[in-house]
Amino acid sequence: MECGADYDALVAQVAERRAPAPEAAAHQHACPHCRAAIAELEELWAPVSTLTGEQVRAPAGLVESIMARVRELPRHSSYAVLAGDGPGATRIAGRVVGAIARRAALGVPGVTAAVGGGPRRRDVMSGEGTAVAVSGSHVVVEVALVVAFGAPVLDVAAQVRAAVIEHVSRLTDLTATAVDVSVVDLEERPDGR
Amino acid sequence: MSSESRSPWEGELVARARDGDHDAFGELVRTHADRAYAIAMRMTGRPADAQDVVQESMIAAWQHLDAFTGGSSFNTWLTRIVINRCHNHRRGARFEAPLDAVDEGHDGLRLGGEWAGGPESAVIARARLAAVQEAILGLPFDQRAALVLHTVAGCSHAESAKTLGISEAAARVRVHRARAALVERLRDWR
Repeated sequence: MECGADYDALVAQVAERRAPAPEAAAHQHACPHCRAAIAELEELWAPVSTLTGEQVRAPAGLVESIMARVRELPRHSSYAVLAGDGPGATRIAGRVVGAIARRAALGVPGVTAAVGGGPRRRDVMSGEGTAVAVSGSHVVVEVALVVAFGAPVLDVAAQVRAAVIEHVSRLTDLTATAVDVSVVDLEERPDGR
Repeated sequence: MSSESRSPWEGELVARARDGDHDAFGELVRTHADRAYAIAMRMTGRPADAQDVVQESMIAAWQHLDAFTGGSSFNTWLTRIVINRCHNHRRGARFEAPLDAVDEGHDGLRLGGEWAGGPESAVIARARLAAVQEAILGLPFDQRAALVLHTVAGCSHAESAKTLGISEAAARVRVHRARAALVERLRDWR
């Protein structure tokens, strides 16, 4: 700065709401450059302080959703196999299908949190669980939801089921033969989130 | 909120969780979920992404508890996973089809308290906060991580350094650069 003061130090001083050292304080008090810079920085930084100081809490039900997933982990195979023309196989991680399912579910009005389980591949020919990939790949998806209080739970579940099937089909070409929906909590906050 | 604060029973919980005790791990998740979510929220800017990141991080923590040696606090270890997931999430997001519906009404900027100037100034204040979040998202990842750890998570430079696996001096420099870049962006926006 023109007065010789370190601008970065002023930024740090404003951002950390720190009192300057006595010598610097005396200079800043007398220096119009520093006073102008500090005034501008305080105005610029105010919304940053507001945003970063906001109390952000994990959505209701997130912990339960995570634990539901953790408890189920050993039951899930980690990959589904996509049919393709080759050469080579295309595998898709279960958590990817889970992520797609979560996002699909979150797009349904009334859903405030969601966690998707991984896929369990089923041999559609025999109808039994199998480790052998068949021509088409089929997954069973489990989704745990937190629903806004007041939303019709059955309707929401039905919409989630449809949305998950549609998204999984469109994005991965896998067929979701079943979508098990668990409503694990109700969101009661008045702001609707 | 120090990332090095350890409850006396945390080691016990970690040991039990490592042995497969779901309830012990649930206690750890409950203790650390808000902080992890706050960090992920400011790193990604979107609640849906933040939820994904926290879920993936907690599940990764569960699956890799054996790798946690106790050299740092569980909090520091978990925060490192969260930051890494934020990094991967951002890179991975480019390959996903956009699911626009997820964003509607979920920008994550909730304003507490009353705004004396009425609804209009509340709208303006909200827009300013959204602009700040955008500006934070516009920072290079390394700077953003250092800034979020320092200002949102309340980490000292030493704690941030430990989390990010860099020197304390480097953590300090990244925060300085992040602030300078933010000031520039916000000045342009004004």
